[in-house]
This record gives sequence, C-alpha cells and structure tokens, in this order.
Amino acid sequence: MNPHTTPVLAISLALGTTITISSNHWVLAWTGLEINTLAIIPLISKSHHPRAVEAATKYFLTQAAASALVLFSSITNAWATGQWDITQLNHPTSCLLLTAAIAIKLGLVPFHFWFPEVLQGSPLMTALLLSTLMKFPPLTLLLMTSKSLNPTLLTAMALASAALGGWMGLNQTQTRKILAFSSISHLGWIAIILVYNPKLALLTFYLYTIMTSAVFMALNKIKALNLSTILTSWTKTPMLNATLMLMLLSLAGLPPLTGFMPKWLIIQELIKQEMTPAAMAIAMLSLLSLFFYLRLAYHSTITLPPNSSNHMKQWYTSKPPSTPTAILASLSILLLPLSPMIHAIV
Amino acid sequence: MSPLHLSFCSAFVLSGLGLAFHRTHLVSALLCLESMMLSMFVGLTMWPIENQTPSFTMVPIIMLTFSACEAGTGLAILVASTRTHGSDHLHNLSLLQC
Amino acid sequence: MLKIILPTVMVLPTALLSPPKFLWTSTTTYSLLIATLSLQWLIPTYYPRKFLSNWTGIDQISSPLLVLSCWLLPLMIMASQNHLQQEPLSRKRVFISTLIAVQPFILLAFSTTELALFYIAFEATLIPTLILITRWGNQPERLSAGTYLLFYTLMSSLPLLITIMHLYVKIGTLHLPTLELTHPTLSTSWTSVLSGLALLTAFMVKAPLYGLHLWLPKAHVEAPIAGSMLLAALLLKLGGYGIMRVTLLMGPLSNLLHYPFLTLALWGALMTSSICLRQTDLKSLIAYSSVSHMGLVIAAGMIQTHWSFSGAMILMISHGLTSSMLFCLANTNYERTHSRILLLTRGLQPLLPLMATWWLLANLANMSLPPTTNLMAELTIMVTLFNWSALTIILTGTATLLTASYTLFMLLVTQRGQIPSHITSIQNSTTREHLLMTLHIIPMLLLILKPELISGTPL
Repeated sequence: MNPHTTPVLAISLALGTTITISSNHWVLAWTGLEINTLAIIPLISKSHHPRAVEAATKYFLTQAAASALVLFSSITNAWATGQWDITQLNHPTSCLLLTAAIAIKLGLVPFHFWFPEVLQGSPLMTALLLSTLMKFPPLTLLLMTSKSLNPTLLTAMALASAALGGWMGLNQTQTRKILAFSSISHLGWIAIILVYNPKLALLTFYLYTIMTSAVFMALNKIKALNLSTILTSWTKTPMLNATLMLMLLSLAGLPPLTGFMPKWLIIQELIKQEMTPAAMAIAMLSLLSLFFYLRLAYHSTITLPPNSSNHMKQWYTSKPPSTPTAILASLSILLLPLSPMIHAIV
Repeated sequence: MSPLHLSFCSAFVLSGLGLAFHRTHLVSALLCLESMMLSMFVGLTMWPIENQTPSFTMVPIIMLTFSACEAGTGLAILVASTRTHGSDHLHNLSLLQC
Repeated sequence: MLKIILPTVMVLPTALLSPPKFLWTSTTTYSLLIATLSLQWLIPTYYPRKFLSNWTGIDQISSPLLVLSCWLLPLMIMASQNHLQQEPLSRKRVFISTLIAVQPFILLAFSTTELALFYIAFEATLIPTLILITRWGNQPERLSAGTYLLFYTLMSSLPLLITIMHLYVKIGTLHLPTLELTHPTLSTSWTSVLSGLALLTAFMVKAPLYGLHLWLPKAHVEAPIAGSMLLAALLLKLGGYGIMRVTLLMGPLSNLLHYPFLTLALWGALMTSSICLRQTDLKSLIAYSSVSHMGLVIAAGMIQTHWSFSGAMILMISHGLTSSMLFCLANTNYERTHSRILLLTRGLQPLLPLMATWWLLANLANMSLPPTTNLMAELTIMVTLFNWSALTIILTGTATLLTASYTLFMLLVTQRGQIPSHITSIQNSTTREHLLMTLHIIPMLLLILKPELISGTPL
C-alpha cells in the first residue's frame, strides 16, 4: 500500500467518528458513519488475502445496509414529524428501524453474525479498531436517542447478546473470534443499561475499550492468533503473559480487577430500576463468557512446564512491550479502587 | 401516508428485502443497495418540496455523493473478491465461517 | 487495621527484591513479625468493636480469624520451601508473592464493616488461589480443579452480589453495624426467603456445605501445600464467618431456610465422615474431614444462639490449625514418597519416629480429645444442637464416632504396620518441618488455657 494512504485513512477515521459523535442532524451523522465505513475497508482488505477480501465484503454489505437503514429511519421520522434533530426521534416506526440499524452496526445479537467473521479476517490491530473505535459512533447515536427507545426490546436484545456471546465463544480456538464474542457479550451489558442510565453505558464502553485494547495489543505483541500460539508464547515475554492473564480475568469481570466496576454499577442500577431478574440473568450469563476467558488465561500462563509440549519454543525478543500496552494493561487491572472517582467524572 | 411517501418507502423496503433474501450474486446485492439509496434520494428531494424549506435542497446532493462513493467502493470490492474467490457468488464467501 | 495491612502488602516487595540468599529467611521473619503484632487484636474490650475506623472494625467474631490468618502466612511460606527448591529464583519469588497477595484481601474480608467491600475482598481471594492451584499444582487435573473452584464460587456468589445491591437499594446503607440496628423484615414473602437463600448459599458453597462441596476435595488434592493450607485454614473460614455475619443480619430464619441447611450440614458431617473411612487418597481424606467439621460449624451458625456462635468460632479456629497441620504432615510424606495414596505410604513410624509424634498429636486433636479446643467446640455445638432438637444427638454422636474412627484409621495406616517394600531409603525429617509442626501445635495447646480469646462472644 502507498505509504501516504495510512495517514489519510487514519484522518478519515478520526473525521468520521468526530462528525458522528458531534452532530445534531441525522444526515450529518449518517455522513460520518459513511466516512468511517469507507475508511476502514482498505485497512481490512490491506493484505489482499482471500480472507481479508471476504471480511471486507461482509463488512461493507452489512455496514452499508445498516447506514441506509439509519438514514431511512430518520427520513421516516422527518416525513412524520418534520424534525431532523437526532434527539427528537419520536416516530415509533423509525425508533424500531433505528434500533435495528444500530444493532446491525454494533453486532447486537439477532444481527451479530457478521462480526466474528469480519474480525477473523482482519489483522489484529484493525480488529481492535473494529471492536472499539467503529462501535463508538453508532453507540453515541443510540445514547442520544436513548429516551425514545423501547426498553423491553433493548433488554431482550441485551440478554440475548450476553447469552449468545458467551455461548458461541465456548468452542472457539481463534483468539480473534473469542474476542469478537467477548465484544458481543459486553455489548449486551452496555445495551441493557442504555435506556436507564446512558452515562453508565458510556462508562462501560470506555472501560471495555481500555481492557480489550490492552488484550489486543498484548496478543499483537506475541503474535497470537490462536490458542496454541498463546500456549508457547510464554518464552517470548513472560511478564506480558502473566499480565495478559490478569487482563483477561479483568475482561471477565472478576473483582478486584477493573472489569468488575461496570458490572457492579450496572447491577446496582438495574436493581434500582426494579429489574432484579434481568440483573440476575445477565450476571449469570456472564459466567458463560468467563469460561472462555478462563481457558485463554490458562493457556497464557498457567499451563507452563512441567507439562511439556511438542511445539517449537519461541525465544525472547529483545524489544520490550510498548509503553501504551503497559499503560493500558495497568489501567485494565488496577482501576477498581478508583471507581467512585471514575463514576463521578463520566 | 401520501402516494409519494408510499412509493419511496415501498421501493426502499422491497430493495432491502431483495438484499436480505436474494443472496446469490454480489452484483445483485450492490444493485439492491444502490436502489435503496436512490429511493432515499427521492424521499430526500421530495421532503423540502412538501415542507417548503429551500435550505434543505443541498442535502440530497450530499447524500447522492456519498452513495456514489459507496457504490464505487462496492464495485472495487466486487473486483477484489472476484479476483480472490473466482466468481461473485455470495456463497463462495465461506472462508471465515465459524 | 492499616498497621497490619500495609506491612502485609509490603512483604510483596520484600519477596520480589530481597537477595536470593535471604529470600526465605526475610519473608518468613517479616511475616512472623506481622503475626506477632497482630496478637494485639485479641485484647478484650468493653466496646463491641475494637480499632473501629470508617471501613474496618474488629469484633470478637473477626479477631480470632484475623490473628489466625496472620499466623498462617509464615507457616505457609515455611511449608512450601522444599517443593520449590528446584525452581528458578524468579518463580520462587512469584510463588511467594502470589501467596502474600491473598493475605491483604483475607484481612480486609475479615475486618471490613462494609458489605460491598466484604464482597469484593471475598471474591478477590479467588484469583490468587486459582493461580496457586492451577499454576503450582502437579497433575494436569489441576486445571479442572481450578475451573471447579472458580465456577462453584462465582455461581453462588453472583446472587449474593445481587442481594447485597438489593439490600443497598432497599435500606440505603451497607454498613454492617448500622444494618444490625435496622429491623430485619420478618415477612415470609418469597423475596425475603429468596434473598436469605442467596445470602447464605454463597457462604455455604465456600464453607462448604455437603452437596455443594465437590470443588473442595478436587482443589485440595491438586493444590500445592501452601494452597491446601490456605484453603483449609482460611478460605473455608471465610464461609463460616460470612454465615455468622449474614444470619445476624437476617434475624430469626424461617423454617424454609432452616431445615434444608441444617439437615444437609448434619447429614453431610455423617456422610463425609463415612467417605473418609473408605478414602485411599491422604489429601482427599483430610479434605473430606474438613467438610465434615465445617458441617458442624454451619449447623451451629444456623442455630444462631450465643453458645452456638462461640462453639462455631472455637471449632473454626481449632480446625484451621488442625487441618493445616494435617496437610503439612501429608505433604512431608508426599515429598518423600511422591505419592498421596495410603496404600503406598504405610508404616512410616520406624523411618520417621519424631514425625510419628506429630502425626499422633495432630490426629488426637482432629478427633477432639481432651486438652484441645476441638473438644470444647464440638461439645458446645452438640449441646446447642441438642437444645434445638433432641434428635440431632443421633447424628452428631454418630459423626463424632465416625470422626474418631477415620482419624484412627489414618493414623494407623500411615504410621503402623509393615513398611512397604518399595520404600527403602527416605530423607530424614528436617528442622524446618519440626518447627512448622511446633508452630501449629503450640497455639492449639495453649488456647485451651484461655478459650475466651477465640470464643466469639465472651463466655
């Protein structure tokens, strides 16, 4: 690829995200979404490998259809109410259409099929972008319209996401697919609280971004695309592997790691809204995803020798892990004691 | 619901259904996407006429521009996937399935 | 509180940075010093809580357990010296720091007065324990043991979290002394029954109650010695402690909650004792004997009288020391014969005569002979259970009989009889091991002189 292309694409990604999250008008928000989609596609299909091209095709088709639906829902709303303001989405049909469109964009459960496949086809860093940055604009649209969304529908979709994300990740051996399903189940946590406390949904998203970026960057460092590579990677960077285990458990939401904070606050908020059964259900469903995080954690550091393996051992690389990885890793492990402050800031 | 509204809504819904259920060729999927865009173009052009808001007349052009970009990207992807997968059949895209 | 917690945290840098020659010495000495300092918590006071601060406070229920957990850290470090001998230095350091990392959380869990902090500390002990078991165990089955531990605990404690949050939303505070002052709702609605169930089940799994105990023998069998000591002496006590705290909170229990738990606890004491009689694995035998003793603690905790609480407290402390010592003894055998199977480790008395003394003492304590606190605890618990219902004497009496028989069985099989032909030469027992046993047995024998230190409510 031409060396000048990458900065152009990066700037376009930043531009598209900024346009969408700061816009007030539906057409402008749609424009931002389109810019984002068009900018990420070259990044996915950069390698010209059949898998990459396939991932790009799938991503393009779903995203284009979803953003067309977003625009159509806003047109329906405008024809009915004469409003183009994002926060004034009042027409019930367009609310439903928008929920479906954003669910396609995010990969919430009935519309989640594209997400693991696209992640599997793209490089690790692009996969990181897809599961964090590319979810941010649709999520802000959902936050801005959260007052007029249907709580029952969102709760049902959220529970289904948490269930299926955990369930389908169980028999995966590819790290990118596992992380895709983990992203789906985390989206369930975000979606269940969205109507009741949008700030908290945003906080959950931020923390998820921190934790999953740390995991993706660690995996990128040890070049681990499947479980057996992780198994033999402890010779490369032992400390990073030990930290990777803690980061994964944090992603699973075990106290005293950062990942417990969003779960705790969400459960509290749900109980405050008299939704104790839903809180119970989503908490129990998170155990499903704990199972595959635990397997990743076992592979990352716990199954060291005396169990010998037949794989070729990889040796120390001289380069230490980068500073951003270190910062993100410590953030994704140690933030729980600061939770009152973080809750107050967001 | 005016006949005009009905016509572009049904055009959108029909092409959306075509995209969702007629999964044979990538070209047909792209065509469906394009016709979704065009039906929305009709909706966007008719809205300022109905509501007498001339300041809105720029919007359909912007939208058309982006849909043209999108169609271009779609064609590029069509070429790329035909080169890597041999044809534009959508069921060939099965390398990444779970 | 911080006076002890901060030094405990600071053992971590000591373990990571001290020169290799003094690694074991400095960590053991340091933690022993902390254990000595922690003895001040035992001083009786007129007030219900000592050392009260915003989030922590110690009362008669928590202080013996706190001192026990401080006491066991140096013992755990001492016990694992031998099996780490062949490991490289960095792994030794990591092992010791994992061991130390549990300690602040256990101290917090025992001393906090805030229910949410208690939950976090209660759960936070899981990750280091998981690492201890799955990273430092020996067999491949350790992975499934770790999974069992994690999922049994989490499956039962997520309802606890939700109930705690429910309490917070309903009452507006999670401060334990304040919660004790609010009138417990005496309604028999399904909500209160279910929340009582959720509050209790988490601790019942941790304690463990018979029927929810399957994770424990697995974890014990797979864990290294320090992990076994940690599980038997401290983590199980977390369950018993939680039951006592939470039942105080709920007021008199309805029969719906009473009967199943009491039945399972007493029946479980009987069943696990009988399982012990036909057990072939030494560590598993000791683990099942823990389950049977903790069954008595659970039963006493459910009765909710002064006597039963003090009985449960004394039993928890003395069982903590006894079972930890038994695990140490099992480990000394394991390190010499590399087998936990009772058939292969018979008749060791002629080879390790002084060890046989420790075996005798530990087993006598386990079957609760006179001058040990175990006897006092079991008598108190049996009396309270008899007072609650006369029929329970059948169950508790049989359980005591079975306890005595399996303990004798364990003693006779490991110490007496013919030496098996494959054991030809064996290492001598070391001073370190004798010191370890001495440090276990001294508090056990001394506590009978002043049992009100550990009897919860002052008798």
